[in-house]
Amino acid sequence: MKQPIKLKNQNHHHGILFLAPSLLGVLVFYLAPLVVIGYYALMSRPVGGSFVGLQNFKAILQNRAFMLAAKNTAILCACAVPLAVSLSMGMAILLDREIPGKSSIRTALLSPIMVPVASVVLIFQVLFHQNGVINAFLTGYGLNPIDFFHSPWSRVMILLLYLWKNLGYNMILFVAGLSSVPKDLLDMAELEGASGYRKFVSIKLPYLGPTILFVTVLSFISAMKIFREVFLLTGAYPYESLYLLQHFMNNTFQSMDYQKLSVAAILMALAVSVLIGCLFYAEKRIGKDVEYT
Amino acid sequence: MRVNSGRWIILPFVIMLLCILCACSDLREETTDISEDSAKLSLDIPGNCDMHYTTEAVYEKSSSNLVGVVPSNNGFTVYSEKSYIDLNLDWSVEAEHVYRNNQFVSAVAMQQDFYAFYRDGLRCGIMSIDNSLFEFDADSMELISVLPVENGVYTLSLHPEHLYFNDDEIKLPDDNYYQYSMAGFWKLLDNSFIVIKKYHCGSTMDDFVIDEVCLYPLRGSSLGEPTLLEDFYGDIQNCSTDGKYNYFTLNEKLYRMNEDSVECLGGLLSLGVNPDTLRQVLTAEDGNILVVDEGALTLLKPSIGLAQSQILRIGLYPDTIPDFTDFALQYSREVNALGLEIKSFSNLSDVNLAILSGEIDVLALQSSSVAQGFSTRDILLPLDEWMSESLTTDCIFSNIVSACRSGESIYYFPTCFSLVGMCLPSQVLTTCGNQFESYEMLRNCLDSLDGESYPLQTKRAALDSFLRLGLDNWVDFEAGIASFENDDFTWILEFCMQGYTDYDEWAANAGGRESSILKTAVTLRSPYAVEDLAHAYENRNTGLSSTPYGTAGTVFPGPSAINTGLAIDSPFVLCIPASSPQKETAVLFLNWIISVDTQRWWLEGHEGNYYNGFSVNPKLTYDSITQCYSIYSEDELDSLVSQCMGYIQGADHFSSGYGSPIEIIIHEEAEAYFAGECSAQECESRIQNRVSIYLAEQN
Repeated sequence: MKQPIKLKNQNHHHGILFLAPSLLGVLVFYLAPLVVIGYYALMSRPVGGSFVGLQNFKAILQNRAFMLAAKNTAILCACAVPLAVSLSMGMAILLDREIPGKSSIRTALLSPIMVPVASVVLIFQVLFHQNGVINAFLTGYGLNPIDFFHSPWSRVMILLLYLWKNLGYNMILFVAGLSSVPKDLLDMAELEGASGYRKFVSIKLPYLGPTILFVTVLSFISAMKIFREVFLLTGAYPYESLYLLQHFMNNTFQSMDYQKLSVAAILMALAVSVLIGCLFYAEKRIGKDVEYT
Repeated sequence: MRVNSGRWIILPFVIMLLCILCACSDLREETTDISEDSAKLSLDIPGNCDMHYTTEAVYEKSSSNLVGVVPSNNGFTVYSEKSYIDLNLDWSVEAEHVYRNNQFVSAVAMQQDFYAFYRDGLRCGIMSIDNSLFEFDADSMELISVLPVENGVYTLSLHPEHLYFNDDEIKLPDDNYYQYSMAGFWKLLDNSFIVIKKYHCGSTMDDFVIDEVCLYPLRGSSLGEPTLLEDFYGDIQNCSTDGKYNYFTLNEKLYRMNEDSVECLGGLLSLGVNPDTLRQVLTAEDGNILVVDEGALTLLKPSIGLAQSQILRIGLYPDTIPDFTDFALQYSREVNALGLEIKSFSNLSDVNLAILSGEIDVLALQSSSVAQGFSTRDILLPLDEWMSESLTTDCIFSNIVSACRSGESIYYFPTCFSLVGMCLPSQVLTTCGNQFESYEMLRNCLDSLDGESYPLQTKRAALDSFLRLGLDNWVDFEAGIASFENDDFTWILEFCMQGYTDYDEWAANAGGRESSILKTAVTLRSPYAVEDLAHAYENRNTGLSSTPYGTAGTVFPGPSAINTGLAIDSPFVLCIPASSPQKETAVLFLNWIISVDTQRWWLEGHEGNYYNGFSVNPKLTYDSITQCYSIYSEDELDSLVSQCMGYIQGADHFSSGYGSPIEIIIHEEAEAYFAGECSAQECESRIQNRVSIYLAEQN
């Protein structure tokens, strides 16, 4: 009777041993920093501080710079993510059809991924500078030049940069997702006389659910990472409409204001978690009737 | 079977873990070889008076006549341009420190500034060839390294195309002779070697990286085949030998080594040697070491088991604050039991991490704005609680203390300072009311004048000079409010716009111009500068006034409704991080630096060199000013002293720190305005926008 129990225990130990490297990594690189951030968020100062409860949270919610950064980041994500998902899905559907030069178009759309960030920034500076190509074009036609870096247009510029950089990759994911839609279902719908729109809404879209979720999460993460480009374009203190949460956190790190940094990081992590939770919930609700082969 | 296979699968992980552990232990071994042995062996510095020697016979102050030091039978022989003297261990001692600005010239020519033996005809003309150590063919030689060893003196010379050891050409592994440099002589296993370093250029031409260190065995008067010295990295210098041990310096530390081990003898700064001006490390048979820097000859006696018990770690940001080294050296010389270690930081993030980890005990910051930022974060020690007795009016000007106040405490202070203000002819200033509360008043005054009112500098320099007067006019740091969108700032931008685009344009056009009536930023660094104000508007060629308003000028604060005094500019401020594990020792150091004796030493040492400005000690500064004006009659003296003290005691705010984020933003946006990319109003709006974000972040 004891032999099987012993074997079971051994398996359990082996499992822990196999997991140990990963667990150690997660512990050191994820959980420990989280604990440290939590500690800083509740202390009055980084060195020899006292426990202040939620006072730092209250202070940061009253901080104009944080609120501005949060607003700008939210606006950017709200505009960029839906556009990135819908445009890339649209392009994937187009490329799913038999069109001439399909392969070349796909390569062209993927190429921005390979361009280094510094080069992207340089290109955009040349294009959007006060004396750049676009303004030269506008003034050539008698129009007023636009100050892209110091006006509300700056958001449009960053949005364009983001889409240009991310659409290709998202599109590839959607193309892969479309290939997983069962052919027989589409053929059956064809026989039943379903329109293209009907086939898309009733068959392709439900099957694309997990891909949409994945692309949305990826796009969201990319939108958060657009700080790199904005920082290289405009520095640590950009014009108001381009000041993002990462600017806030980067600058507070530089000035050793770890309390603000930690609280901002926790609030951002909470917001991202809630958002991704909602996406998973929506995907679960929408995709519950889909049977994957 | 299943269980067995599971066991085998674990094996790669175990091997990997072992590999990581081995790698870690290897790393640890590598570092201990160099650094951790310092606990085993240290330098016994034999008392204060034995530590530093200068000899009147060969060493004249403010003269660069000392050219070489070589060991002799009973001590050392010091050569000057005129003569030489032998120093034995009981030579006449005068415990006096000679400063680096006295330009000691070493016999080692590893540095570019060893000009004594350059082929420069003028220099050789001044220096009699008979009195020099060796006779060289001055026409063909570019650079010479001279090192004494054993019974003779060896030389290394760099001819236009060849590297020579004495008269023999050194066979180098390749033709790139210019990449080789001699570090000195060593003795290993009873064989003498010449140590030669090989450089290669890094990403820029100025960026040299040491590739390898080679030992060339001495064969009579020539060299044998080189041996590559493995495991030696970095720019080792000042290699010398006493036959038993070989000595060298690396990363501002003194090491000795033999066939078996490498031992760190301590940081040069802690031993009272200026690492920035180190010239030679010479050994004697009795084991003593003479270390030669530009300021002093320091005799060190290595002995076992007398390690400096405590090391005070000082952080410098940015990398170099040369003036601070003088203080650190003096402290090392006075307090032998305590070692000093200076850590330089090139970016603020590193400083933050060093503070957070308790890595530094004292922080010397070039910019008061950085210290101000730290103090608002509450990460500095409130000095008024820890050293209240030193922050009294006996030791430091009360207005300086007030300017350093952040909230209710004082977290930092300068040790010396200069003053910054605007300057107008005294006659004009009297007419206009001596003080301007706004730039509008100043503008109206200037517009009513005859002659050229506005100075023409480069645009950037003009803007810089306004910012140096302080940012308080536009930025309320306490409330976190910026107000750049006003007529005053517009006027400043328009004023600067009249300047030249760059220095070349300025040099081409501004040469023959009369000096302007308004001087935007005048720095007062010494009593002489205040005295010179009487001739501020004097034409140097004619002796006449360069404006229609007489030659005398008066310095006044930048127009401001907030400040009434001049701006304080300090080369560095000192503070103690709250995380310092040695707060008491750090406080002792700051107390020492601000003490009357130290400040007096500093003032006396910097006599004639007023780059750093006035001492923060009121009495010493008063005495120094009085002494400076002693040639004047009593009435004139009283007037000048009260004028000078008035400027000092009236100063009430720090000038804008170089490299502060606000200054960077203003310059960035002003550049766009200067380039014609936007109007002054748009520029102001952008500055306002960006600075507001910065201030909101800070509050």
